[in-house]
Formats: sequence, structure tokens, C-alpha cells
Amino acid sequence: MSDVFVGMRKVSKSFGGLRAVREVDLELAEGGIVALVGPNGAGKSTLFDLITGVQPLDEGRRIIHGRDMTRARSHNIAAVGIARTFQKVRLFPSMTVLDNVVVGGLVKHRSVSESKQEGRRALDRVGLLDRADQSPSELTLIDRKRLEMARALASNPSLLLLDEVMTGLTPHEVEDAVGLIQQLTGEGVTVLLVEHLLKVVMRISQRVIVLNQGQVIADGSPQDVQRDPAVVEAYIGSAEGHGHAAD
Amino acid sequence: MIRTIGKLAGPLFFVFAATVPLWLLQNDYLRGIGVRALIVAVLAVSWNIIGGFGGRLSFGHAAFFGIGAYTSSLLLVDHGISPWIGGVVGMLVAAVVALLVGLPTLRLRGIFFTLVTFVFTLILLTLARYFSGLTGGDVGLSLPLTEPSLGMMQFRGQLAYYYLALAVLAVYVVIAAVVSASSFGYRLRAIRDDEEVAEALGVPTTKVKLQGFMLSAGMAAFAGTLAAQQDLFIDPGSAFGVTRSVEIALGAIFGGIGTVWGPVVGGIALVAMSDGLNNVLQDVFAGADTIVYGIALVAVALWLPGGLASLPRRLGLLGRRRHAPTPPEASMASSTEKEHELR
Ligand SMILES: Nc1ncnc2c1ncn2[C@@H]1O[C@H](COP(=O)(O)OP(=O)(O)O)[C@@H](O)[C@H]1O
Ligand SMILES: [Mg+2]
Repeated sequence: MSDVFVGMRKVSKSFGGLRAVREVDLELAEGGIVALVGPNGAGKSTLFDLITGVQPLDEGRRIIHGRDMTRARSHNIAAVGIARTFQKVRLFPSMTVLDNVVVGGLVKHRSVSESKQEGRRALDRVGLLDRADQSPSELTLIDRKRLEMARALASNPSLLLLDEVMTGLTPHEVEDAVGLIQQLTGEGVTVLLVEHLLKVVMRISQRVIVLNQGQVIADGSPQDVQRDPAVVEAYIGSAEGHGHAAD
Repeated sequence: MIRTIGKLAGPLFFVFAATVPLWLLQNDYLRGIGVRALIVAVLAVSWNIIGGFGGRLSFGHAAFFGIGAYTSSLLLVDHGISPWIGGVVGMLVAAVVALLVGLPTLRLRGIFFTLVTFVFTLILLTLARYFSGLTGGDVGLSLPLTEPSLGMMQFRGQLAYYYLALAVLAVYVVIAAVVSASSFGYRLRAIRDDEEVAEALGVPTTKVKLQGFMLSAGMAAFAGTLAAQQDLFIDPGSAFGVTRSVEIALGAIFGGIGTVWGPVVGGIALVAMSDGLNNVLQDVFAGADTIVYGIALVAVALWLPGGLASLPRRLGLLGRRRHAPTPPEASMASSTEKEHELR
């Protein structure tokens, strides 16, 4: 257990009668890009909430850097180097673009001025530096997603969870995003990626985990997963059910 | 150019305010009103730390005002202790009480905190009446007349009280500005905008809210000491009254919630307006002042959500805002909307 990077052990989460995540085991090793895919409602975003402590676990355990952090609050989890974006972008509306990012940086930097420096670097990486003094409401949805990513980057995370950051991007913009993600992994950041663009996902990740109805139905290299009959079944099934995998 | 004006605006305001007794408030009656206005501004600046920056609306800040007033007054009456020391003790007591009130309530979301602060003040009001052996009950507590001196915070005439209150206000504005620019201020604003996201970014939200509430309460307590020394008298109603709580919160909201200067402007404007209207309109018909006062507040709420302090910028006098603060109510609404959308 002492060398575990991130381990979710038999974690479950229900909303009322709906079992969004059921007894999921997820071990992440340090480094590389891991994709988490599955039909709408499969429980991907909920699993992100469970990893980052945004939602408490109903059952199971959470181990990070070899430590049992099952009952940790999400600020403790952020403090050990896990950052995320939200599928439905959630910025601080009354703060400027830069100030949003500064909040992200404060987990690593004591002073606001250091955090501002880090924040500017992060904004530069996503191409938003010239928007630093604007309000997030002045940004397009895509720029708001970029801002959320910059806010996560400003904390210098060791694990970065990205929830559908490429959705709605043009092919050219997707390549930019892919470039940034690969650059990050080059710097030693581990990336867990939820993305619907399967072609991109299969190309850039070293490992693909498929979630369906709250359960892991496949986990392996992109090649193996693509050939897995259960995966094919889940995707075709969900297409017929209009993406409603939930009960 | 605009930046220089912005930097100088603070010191200029205080220099200007220092001259006001010389040409406007020329008798003790008017100066007394001036002191009251400054004390409400002091309270509004204090309230704004948790209410404005942190977005947790206390509807019972009179509790801390009253705790400060009674602590220093009782220490003075029973032990002859200087109100300076009593005032500081009062601040500490208020901060500890805020910790005890905040621990169970600041974890909860929504309106619980607001409700509990309100009810808590009512409880203190009742206790202050009930324990009349200690507080003098509704008869009130008169403070002993001493030789006028700064050391005993007692003066003849209102002018010295005016400058004392102004000095405290200046210190509080500096504290508010430092908080606003510090990591603490960033964390409070992040909590106000979206607490769950703030947590996910590493903000220990419960701790930060508690610290904000304790600082806010401690600061408000010293205003109680000032007011008790000005009147040399306190009673439960003036210390823990609901109107006091309303005045504190309204002062900050009226002037510009979550800004450094809004509560200063709002607190002063509120007292000037209510006392001024009272004088002008009492002959027209009784209660007219309250109506006009209410209309003015609603007008600000409707057309100037940034408060009075945002007026110069709204009129384009000071150029573009760096960040337009959303009133906490508005941002709370937006975060609940988000929660609904998620579902
Ligand atoms: N806060 C919530 N309250 C109630 N149900 C929720 C909540 N969050 C997610 N769900 C439900 O849990 C299931 C999984 O959702 P989610 O994790 O968002 O799936 P995915 O991200 O894979 O599309 C869905 O059926 C969704 O409606
Ligand atoms: Mg999702």
C-alpha cells in the first residue's frame, strides 16, 4: 500500500435509489495518460467526485500516495496534489480570470504574489494571458474550460483529472489541447481523462478504462479495450437507449 | 493617473472626514450623530469581512457589538479597568463566541447561519435583561464619570470621540484592504462564489469561514466599547437590539458589499440619511423618514447592486473596474442553479 499512487478500492455512490458508481476498483500508477470512457450517465463524473472528495464515498476506501484518505475532505486531497476540472464549468463568477487561477495556486504558494506568477504561467499555457483582467462571464464556453484547466494547473498537480475538456472544440483546438496534455505528462503529471472523442482517446492514452452503469467493464490498453465485446455491447446498447445507461 | 487618484482616495477621504466637524458638524449634537455614523461604518466594515468577502450574511452582528460594550463597561464599572484593555478583552470574548456559534452553523449551507446569528442575538438580549444583577437589566448600566483622558477613553464634548472613531475606522479600512488582497481574502471570496469548488481547490472552507467570522466579530466588538464610552451608558436594547443588527448589515449592503470602501460609505450614508430625514420630516408626518429611507434602500438594491460605492464607476468617473463583485445573494443563486443543472 505504501507505493500506491492513487487507489480507489470498491468505491460506491448512490443518489437516492440510483447507483451511480458500484464497487469500482481503480488503481492509478504514476505517469502517463489514462482515459475513462463510457456512455452518458455511466458514472464517470461521479467517479471524479469520489476521487477528489467532492462527494463522500458511500462505501469503499481511497488511498493516495500510500495513505488512507477515505475520510479526507476535498481540500486535503487537493493539498496532496490532485486537481480537476468540472464537466459543467464552475468558475468564481465575481473574480477576474487571473484571480480565479490565483485561488488554484494558493494550495502550493503561500503568498498571493507568488500565486499570481504561477497563475500567469498557467494562463499563458492555455492561451488566456491577455484575458487576465476580464471577468469569466466575458469568456466563451471554450475559454471558460481553458480557464478551469489553468486554475487546476496553477496548483502544480501530480494528478490532473480532466472532465470532457475537449468537448465542443474544433479539430484544430483538439490538437492544441492534446499537445498541452502531452506536454504535461512529459513534465511528470499523471492525467486521468474523461472524453467522448474515442479516436483521440485511443490515440493518446496508454490505458483505457470503460465504465458502464457505474461499473468497470473493461480496463487495458486501447487496442485490447477496443476489441472487448463487452465494450462494443455497452456502446451499441447505449446508442439505442439514447445514452441513458441509468436505471 | 486614475491609479494615482485611486491610491490617494483613501487618505484623502480621511483628511476630508477630519475637517467635517470644523465646517459641517459644528455643535455637539451634530458631532454626536457624526460619531454614531462612524461607529456604524466601523461595524459595517467588520461585518463585511464575513458577510461581504465570505458571503455568509450575519443577521446578528449586534451580538458582538453588545458583547464588546458590556465587556469593557463591566470591567470598568466593577474593576476600574481602562476601556482600552476592556475593549481588547471584549474583542477576544466576541471572537471566542463567534467560534462557538460558527462551529455548528458555518458547516451548514444556506440560510442556517443567518438564522442562528439572528436568534442568538435575541437570546443575548433576553439574558442581558434577565441577569439584571450583572447588567443592570432594562434600567441600564451607567459608566462612572472620570477625568477626561485618552487613557480612560473619556472626553468632554463629542469632538474627541469623533476623532477616536475616525481613527478606528481608518485602522479597520486598512485591515479590510489587507484582508482583501491577502490569500485569506482570496479564499473567502472563493467560498462566497462556490464553496464546493473552493474546497476542491484546496481551500479549507470551514476553517477559513470560522477565521473570517471570528475576525469580523472581534472587530465589531470594539465598536461596542466606543459606543458605550460615547454614551457612558448601555442597556440591553441598545446593545443587542435587532435594529442594530439590521443597520450593520444594511450599511454594508447599501454601500457596496464585498468591497473595502462600500461599508464605509454605506454606514455613514445610512446614519446621515436616517438622522437627517428624521429631522427634516418629523414635522411633515411621523414615520415619513422610515418610508423614504426604505425607498432609498430598495432603489439601491434594484438599480445599484454594487452599492453606493460603485456609483462613481457606474457613472464612468473612475474608468473600468478590475472586478465587479457580484452580491453574495446573486452568486449563491447561481451556484444553486448549477446544482440543479447537474441533476
Ligand atoms: N448530484 C447528483 N444527484 C443525483 N443524481 C446524480 C448526481 N450526479 C450524478 N447523478 C446521476 O448519476 C448517474 C451518473 O452520472 P455521471 O457521473 O454524471 O455520469 P457521466 O459523467 O458518466 O455521464 C447519472 O444517472 C446521473 O443522473
Ligand atoms: Mg460526466
